[in-house]
Amino acid sequence: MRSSSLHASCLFKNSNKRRVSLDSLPDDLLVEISSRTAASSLSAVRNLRLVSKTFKRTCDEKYVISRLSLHELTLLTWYHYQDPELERKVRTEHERKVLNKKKELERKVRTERLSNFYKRCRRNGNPEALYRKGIINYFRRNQKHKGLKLLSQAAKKGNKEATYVYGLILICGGGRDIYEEGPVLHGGETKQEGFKILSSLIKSLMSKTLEELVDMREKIGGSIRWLGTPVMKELKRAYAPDKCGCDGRTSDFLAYNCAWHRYGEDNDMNTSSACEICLWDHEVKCFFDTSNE
Amino acid sequence: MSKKMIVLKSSEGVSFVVEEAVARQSKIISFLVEEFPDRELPLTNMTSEILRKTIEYCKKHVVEDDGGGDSSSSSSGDLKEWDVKFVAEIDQPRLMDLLMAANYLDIPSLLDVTCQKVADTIAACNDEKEIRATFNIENDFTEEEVEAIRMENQYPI
Repeated sequence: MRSSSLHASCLFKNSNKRRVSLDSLPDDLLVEISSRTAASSLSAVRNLRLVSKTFKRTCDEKYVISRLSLHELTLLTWYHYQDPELERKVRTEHERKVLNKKKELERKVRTERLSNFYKRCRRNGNPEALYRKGIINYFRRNQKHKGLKLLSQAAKKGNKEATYVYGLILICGGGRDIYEEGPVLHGGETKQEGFKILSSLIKSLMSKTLEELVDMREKIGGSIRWLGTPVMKELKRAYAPDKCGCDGRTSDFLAYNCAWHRYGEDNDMNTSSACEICLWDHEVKCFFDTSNE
Repeated sequence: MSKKMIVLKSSEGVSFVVEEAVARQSKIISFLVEEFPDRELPLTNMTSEILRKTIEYCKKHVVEDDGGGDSSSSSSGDLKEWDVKFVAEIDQPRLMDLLMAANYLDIPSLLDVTCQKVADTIAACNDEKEIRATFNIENDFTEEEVEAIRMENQYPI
């Protein structure tokens, strides 16, 4: 015991002379560091907020919230509230009723807190939060104008999921009139712009290979499909393929590989060498394919 | 043509002779060199150890336009790898000093890697206590305040 405390104080003495405390750094550096922590995870920021007053303040800065990663929260967290601890204690019918009331209340509180949290993230320009709201509005609530606006904002901020979905929606609805139930355009963006947006997705090295594109399709599709199947069907119906006049190599390759063969190291195509019209044509068909559901 | 050298002096009074192109990655030094050519530049708030580290970083990152020299021509991938190793080898207190130096001398890329390293270290901590211990931070919250933040944290932020 004694020796270890002695050892600790020695260490402290040695380093004390020159040791800079992290929270004595200038504010702009603390905000930069906190924002990078926020970009790695929400739980890391939660810890950081408990460290000191200085850090609580910096963690609540606009810039930090705008970079906050939301990957630890599922798209629709508020629909799954359960408390197994309380469930186990329930014996009688009356207790069941009381518990249900309590659960309902708790669910309400949580839903509200969570929605306030998301609102705050959106106000601060957090692209992931904009994307999430955009998806829900467009595919679930039938508020397509609002949804598209949010998706386009998130895409402009470089969120790749938003870029993918927004681009595909545009190429499905491009050049068509706005009608009540079908795909609608936001701010007059056209099919051509849809191709441009999607092209930026593969050109900016976000997804250089088809394998990466498939991963992204599955990840995004998985979160949208169960809530947005009707809207996805509408989009697929509205889609009219463009004639590209290419040699057909891209579509042959895609058709051959999409069913049984997985893309991999020796069987892949660099997206920059593909015919983009064929590539996205294939992507629309795969992404909006809800026939398995 | 021989390369132009300049002299940087640490807080202990140790002189470092550095190629001008290397030192000019610091925007401050770049400015000072133009204002006061042919003079030693005293960096009174930097220890020799940290100045040496900073120069090591700048030497690796210098882009030479006359094509010669062995300190340039690294590919960006190699350079990234080198950066990761560079900050991984530095202990916590020295990392803070290096970050301060990058800020003071205005070397954006060094500031970038040091900030990222600090952020990664924070993210790797399991709780707030570990963060405080790692970075020598004093807890200035009362117990009630901590409880209140924990409540807030229960729901995201």
